[in-house]
Amino acid sequence: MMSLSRHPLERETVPGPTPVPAVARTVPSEPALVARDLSFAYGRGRGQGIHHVNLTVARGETVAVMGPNGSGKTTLLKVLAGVRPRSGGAVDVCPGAARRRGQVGYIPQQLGLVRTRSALENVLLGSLCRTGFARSLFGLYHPEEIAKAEALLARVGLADKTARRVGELSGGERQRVAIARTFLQRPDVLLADEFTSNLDIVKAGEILDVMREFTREGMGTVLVFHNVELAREYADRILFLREGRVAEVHDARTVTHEMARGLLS
Amino acid sequence: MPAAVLVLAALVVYSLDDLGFFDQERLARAGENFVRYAPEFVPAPLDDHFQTLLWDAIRETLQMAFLGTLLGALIGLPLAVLAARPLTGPVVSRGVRLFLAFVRTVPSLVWALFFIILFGLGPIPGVLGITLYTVGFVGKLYYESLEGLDPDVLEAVRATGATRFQLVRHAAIPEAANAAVSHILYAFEYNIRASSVLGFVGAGGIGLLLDHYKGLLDYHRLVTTILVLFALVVAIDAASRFIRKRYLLQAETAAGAS
Repeated sequence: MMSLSRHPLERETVPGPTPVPAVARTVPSEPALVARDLSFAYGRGRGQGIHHVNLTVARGETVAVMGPNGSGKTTLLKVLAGVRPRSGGAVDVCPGAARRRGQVGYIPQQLGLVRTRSALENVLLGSLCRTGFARSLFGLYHPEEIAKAEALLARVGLADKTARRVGELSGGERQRVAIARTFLQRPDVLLADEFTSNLDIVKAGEILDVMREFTREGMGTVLVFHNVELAREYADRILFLREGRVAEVHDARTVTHEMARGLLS
Repeated sequence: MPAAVLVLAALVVYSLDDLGFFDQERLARAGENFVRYAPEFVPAPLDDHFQTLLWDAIRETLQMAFLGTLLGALIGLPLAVLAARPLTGPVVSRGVRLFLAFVRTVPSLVWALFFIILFGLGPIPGVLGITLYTVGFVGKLYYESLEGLDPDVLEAVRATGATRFQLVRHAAIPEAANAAVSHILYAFEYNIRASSVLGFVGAGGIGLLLDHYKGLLDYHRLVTTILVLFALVVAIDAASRFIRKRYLLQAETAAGAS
């Protein structure tokens, strides 16, 4: 009746605080996401679109996307997420592996949370890819999923706020709900569009730390950043876009402020 | 700009003349009639029998509007989900939208007449007439709300791998719930007035009473009944405002919270 798809790296029990291993940040080989010659154009010159973008993201790797305003960062993410149709090229998630629902997790800049529902209900949306029609009809979720959702909320520090309506939470709290939702989904690839932009740098760092804990478990991640420091700290590679095309790609640690300034203006 | 105003004024004057507003004789006669009938428009005192009739009529009108609105919403809301283009695609949504437009174009009065032929006089055709019109009315308002939902929410939930059904059930409907209640309240207010009109074709309620006294040329009681209807509409308006303020998220607070 209901199949819980098994993610290759899914844990059996609810995890407690995990010691963060001090090893190389990238896991070798297996790509999580391969984008080839990706293009999307808005009709008649409305906004930039993207042109012939190539990108490969390995499992466990974090790629930052940066660029001046209008360079197509959000569009690229939306096309990768499947939220915008492509006008050219292809996107392959975990090439060679079987397709399943919910392989790609997407967090838009405004988070896309249902404001009138509680934090727990929003996190549970992440399990919809594993929930059958009958349960959905009655608004029910598998008790295992509910337990996992509660554990995730606890892990992001919102254990006491699970029943609060999302509209009543602060910006930082809502971002943590959005992260928890995505991690309940257990995607192979996470795409997040600069969702820390309206947090101060300390809070943004905290949220990204939480995210890093999860991504070390094997998710490929593409994040849009506006802040070079955050990008250097949390990404393995930085992709610079300009006018919808890939201008340059650098190893995150080699990017200096001068370089960034030049590439972002 | 001034040219447009002149043209408009010319059109107004022409239409007034064409429709007979400048007919001196008629205007004079209207003046005479007003003076002659003025004493008839004094409301009648509320004796016991009259009061009972009025209360019964009010109750019937409220019941007709209440039932008609709820039944109409029960049918109209699901249809609106089908009519929302982002939820069901261009083909299905267009078909349903056409249906809703048809149902809405026929005024509840005409629907009621149709049902009177089937069911005879009384409140049943009234309720059915209101129901059908409300299906179109609430349906349109609701699908417009659904189409105007924050695309971010729909995109984010779609990206979690949810099926279209799950998207509607868990994201679209909760997001539009506020709007749905608002539309239903609005339809109820509208239907109170509609049900009084339906009374003129025998469908019961205050309208029937109005028609009754008009037929008897009992203008005193007619005026009283009209005043009672007016009071009812004002009371419903106030109740509706109260409910909205108390239970519905107003647009400003919803935006402020994000």
